[in-house]
Amino acid sequence: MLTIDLLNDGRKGCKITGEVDVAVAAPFREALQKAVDSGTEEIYLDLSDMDYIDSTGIGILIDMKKNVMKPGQQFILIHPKRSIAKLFQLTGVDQIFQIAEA
Amino acid sequence: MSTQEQDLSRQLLNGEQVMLELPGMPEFISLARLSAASVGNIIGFPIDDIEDLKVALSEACTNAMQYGCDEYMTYTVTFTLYSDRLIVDVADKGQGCDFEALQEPALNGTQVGGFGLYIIRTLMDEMNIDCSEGAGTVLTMTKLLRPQHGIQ
Repeated sequence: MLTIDLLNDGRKGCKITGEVDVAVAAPFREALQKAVDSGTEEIYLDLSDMDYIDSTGIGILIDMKKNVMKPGQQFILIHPKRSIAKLFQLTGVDQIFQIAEA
Repeated sequence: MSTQEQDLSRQLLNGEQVMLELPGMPEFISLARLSAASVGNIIGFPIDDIEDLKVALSEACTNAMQYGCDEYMTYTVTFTLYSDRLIVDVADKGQGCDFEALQEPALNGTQVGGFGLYIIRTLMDEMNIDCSEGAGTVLTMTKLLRPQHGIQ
């Protein structure tokens, strides 16, 4: 189960809740694409309630940076759970996006 | 069940098996994850190891689904429980391996896919792939219960 809500704290971006795997790859990509299309430079993704992400989801994040985002555009990944932060580290996601605690 | 009783039943584990036959549809992978968490809990893995197990099994299921079957076929997940380790087999009836996926991925944020097997290898203690053309693929992975997490 995945839900994606717009942030309501004044920052541009969304809160991702639940599990991101191959079953929800399409809505996940669509939400990120929409955020990128808005042209905002710093897009905040609140991951504090994201329980799980698989390599498909990680591939989508990397693909956004590599093939979709304009120069200067950036995801800021907020407070991923420990197991997810570990996966970001393993796959190099932490090298292309800023990971923030809050 | 008391903690003592749980410890006792854990000590008695000796190759008990739990099998799942899953349709080749992405919606069912979460069921494999839930099962991995339950089985990992029975053996007594710490929470971080259970998370690793869930991630690794999901990747194996995604591979089986993408390369080993279509939505009308099934693949099987077999958990074999021991007091000190868990062995998980993921078997499909597809045409064989995706050899490209066996390559080591670039880890500098330039590679978009191909992380699945790398993640499994990294998070599990052992991984083996047995595939022969036309006879399907069996991915076997093992997670060990570390002594410091074991029964005192």
